[in-house]
Amino acid sequence: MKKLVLSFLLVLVLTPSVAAETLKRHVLALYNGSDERSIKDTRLHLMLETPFNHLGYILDYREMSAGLPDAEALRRYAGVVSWIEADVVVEEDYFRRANEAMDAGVKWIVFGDIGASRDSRAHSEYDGFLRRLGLVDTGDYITVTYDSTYDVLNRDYFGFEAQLSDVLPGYPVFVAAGNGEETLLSVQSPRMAQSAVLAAVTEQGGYMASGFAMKFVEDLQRTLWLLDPFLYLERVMDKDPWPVPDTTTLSGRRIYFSHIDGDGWVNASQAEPGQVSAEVIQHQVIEAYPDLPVSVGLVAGDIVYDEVYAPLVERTARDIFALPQVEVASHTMTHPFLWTELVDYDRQAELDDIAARALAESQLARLDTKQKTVLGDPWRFYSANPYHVDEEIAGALAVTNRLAPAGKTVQLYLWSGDTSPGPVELAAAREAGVLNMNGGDTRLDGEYPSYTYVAPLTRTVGTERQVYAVNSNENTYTNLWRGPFYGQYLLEETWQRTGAPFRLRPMNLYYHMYAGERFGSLQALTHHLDIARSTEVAPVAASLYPRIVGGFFETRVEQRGGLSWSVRDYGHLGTLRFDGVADTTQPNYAASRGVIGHRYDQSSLYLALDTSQSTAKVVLDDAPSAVLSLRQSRWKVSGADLGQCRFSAVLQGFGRPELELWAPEGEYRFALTQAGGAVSQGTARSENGVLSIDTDITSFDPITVTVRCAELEP
Amino acid sequence: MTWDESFERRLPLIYGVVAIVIVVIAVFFLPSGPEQRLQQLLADRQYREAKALLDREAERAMRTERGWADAIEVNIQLGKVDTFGPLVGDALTTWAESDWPREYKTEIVDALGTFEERVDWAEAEFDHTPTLQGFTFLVGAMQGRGNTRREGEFLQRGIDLGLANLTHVERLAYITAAEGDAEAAIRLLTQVVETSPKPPPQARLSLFSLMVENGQAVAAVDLAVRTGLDPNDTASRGAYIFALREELRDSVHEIIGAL
Repeated sequence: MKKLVLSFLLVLVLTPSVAAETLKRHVLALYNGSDERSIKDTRLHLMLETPFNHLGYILDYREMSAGLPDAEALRRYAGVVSWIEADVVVEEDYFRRANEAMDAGVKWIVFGDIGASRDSRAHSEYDGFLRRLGLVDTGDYITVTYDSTYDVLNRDYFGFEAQLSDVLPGYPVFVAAGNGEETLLSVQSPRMAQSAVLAAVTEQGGYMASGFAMKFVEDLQRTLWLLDPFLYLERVMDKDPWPVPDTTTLSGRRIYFSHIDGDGWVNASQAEPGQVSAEVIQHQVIEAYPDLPVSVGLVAGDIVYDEVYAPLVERTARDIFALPQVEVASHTMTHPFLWTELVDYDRQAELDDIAARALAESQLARLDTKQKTVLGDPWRFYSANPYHVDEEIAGALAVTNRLAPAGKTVQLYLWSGDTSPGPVELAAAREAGVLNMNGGDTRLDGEYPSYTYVAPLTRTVGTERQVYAVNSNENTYTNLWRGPFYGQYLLEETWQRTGAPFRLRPMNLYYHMYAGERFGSLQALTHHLDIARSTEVAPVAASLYPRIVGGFFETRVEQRGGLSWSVRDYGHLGTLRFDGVADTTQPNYAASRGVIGHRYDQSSLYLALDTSQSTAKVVLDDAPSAVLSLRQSRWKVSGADLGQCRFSAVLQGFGRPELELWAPEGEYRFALTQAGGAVSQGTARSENGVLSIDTDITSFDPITVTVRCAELEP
Repeated sequence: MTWDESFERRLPLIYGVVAIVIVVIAVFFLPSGPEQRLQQLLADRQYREAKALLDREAERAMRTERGWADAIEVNIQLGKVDTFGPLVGDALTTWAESDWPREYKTEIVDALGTFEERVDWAEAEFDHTPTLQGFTFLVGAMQGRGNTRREGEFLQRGIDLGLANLTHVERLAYITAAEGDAEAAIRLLTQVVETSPKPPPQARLSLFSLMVENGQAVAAVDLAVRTGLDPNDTASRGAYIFALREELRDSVHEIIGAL
């Protein structure tokens, strides 16, 4: 008995007692406002926010001249990252606060310049700052580099998209501090006594010298990563496996969605003479693929301002919106091309621009066509009336809602033109109760061969967020619709490269209504629809994606134990991802709550959450579970009840459900109950631990599935 | 019978022969029925009908070079990637002397090619017809690959062909310097420093350093003074001092004399 008590006490002492700790997901992003005028132009947004997002982090932007937040605010961040290229000199106080934050566990990551002045070296706080990053400043800068050679070159981290060249840019001479740092890149030269460290990682942060993380290849006019930013940031942030909110996956499958901007609705189609583009898209693209949803954004001005074509637009819009696989969306009222000009709108300036364009066009008309230059876009397509945000958003929604059938309203507002709305417009869309999306122009293909062209999830505008579309539309593939019109075939490469070797983004088929004009563009669309149809995807309405992204930013994770977490406020986000766990790891369903399935794919464990609940408890272990749980489904699975020999849930989606459960070997009975009460029953056998339930049911309404072991009474 | 009479008698026969020759020529050289029909359908943008014709009578419709080009255009207009890709590939072999298959290939690679395919095709095109666009793309691609040897080769060709600007000359200088060919690097950097309206500091400093290290201290100082030392350029000043300190101890009298 005494031994038993002692053993119990020993277990208590040795068991790591982890108090509930909210995992910090925000990273303070410091940028140089004199060099980078707006957040969307910063290197941090263009280069680093995507990998940070992938790793589960949220960037909070701050202009460097505003200084650092106070110590308490700083400690709430998981990390601080700065990326400046000269012209910024920070005060001594900056280094003092940074040192305090680092000592409190905030990771500090420097890309490019430190921001030190010539006098900084005399100050201990600066010296301490660098030592925490594993560096000592010699004060030298090497401009002549033809005799510099790499000393340490860790190829796990470098040579990601472009290889380091033998011709080096200039570099500051920081030498290793011997403070436990790992040097990932260093160079030596007869011009200096010690090797210069160009990339290092310590327990407190990381340093990446200017010119060695990425390179703008001027002759290609493309930016390429030298560094693997995903691996580097993961290493610097140095977090044990944790449930990363994932925006790519639903019910164990990669998300697919599609949306159309309504431009060119009534353009005459060359592909189908006698029809307008919208009719061609309706018949050949939307109706031909009822199993693949699409959100269609109407330019309301086509009805309000275009007297000639308004009846045709109205009729076709009603027809399209009535299709069950179509979600109603708005693509603005006046179709702004330059939202940036509307932030501080000046009607007279717009009228001046219109007049100047008219003059330029009349002058150009006299020139030979080959000499004509393309005029830039006007501020708005319909500019008869002065711009007003209420008309542009609430007005557009009202017009579009009138064309929607009963039971449907506009869910999504799709930005037009330069897709750079101001905070007033973003707030107006939110207050009108619709999601917003577009912009980003993500591509990762032969023409844009770098992750730097994969946009982050959102653009921060004041306190609002603009959700970027996942992929670019046909415009960027067709030289702004000048041809070749089959160009969007290349989207397939972006789908492949953002899906493997790790899943970075869902699949998004995004195009304009004028794609119905040409055979080539139609072929490219149906090619991708065929891919979506034949690939294991979870097709969803486009508005679900910004809802999921909203969940990404709201999700809060608390660590409860070594392999136990509490997750809250995930909203519509249906997946948590664990990187770096063994493929035998899986949820302990008995101890978890709100977790309905799991799937291991490309070295990551994806957990399916029940979005009908607002909190989840996640407990992982290595023991196989006897509970029936979700492996994957084409339809969204929610309201699930898991148990040994039983599984029930509500399914909703497009096409056939294609449900697979983890289930012990044996015979199972299943029943699918549709909204009207019709029941489809059958039996299936679990093989290799997987039970496939395949039926011919197609329904746009939710259905209930129940699964039982065959030996149990129904 | 006079010659004229004899000629007149044979005139119908001559007419007949000429007519036969014309018909033979027409049969062999003028577009056949399907070819003409294909041209007409293409001009009328009747792409589906044109495709149907090609499916029925491909061999006759594509008997000539023009027929081939029309067939490819029809498939391109219809967005039939699976068809026009191989057709263009075949045309490159069949009509190797013509430019149009290459132009189609360029369009397809630009629109759909992977990065590697773009580089491979750009190399082939550059060998065939060197252009500024091809030159800059290949230099950039080799830079991205970190293949400085190939980059250097393309830079040299670009310089020889008059396609390169001073930035390319400067880049080649650094490559040759890194490879240890100081003499070539000095020659190239001298060109940059002497001809650029505002020579980049790295070019001036690298040239200075290379000249000093290769026994041209006096000329280095002369060049540096002539091309303008910037007293506010602290980074450059450090490099000058380094070079002077390390290399010029033995040449100090020479330099003073030169200055």
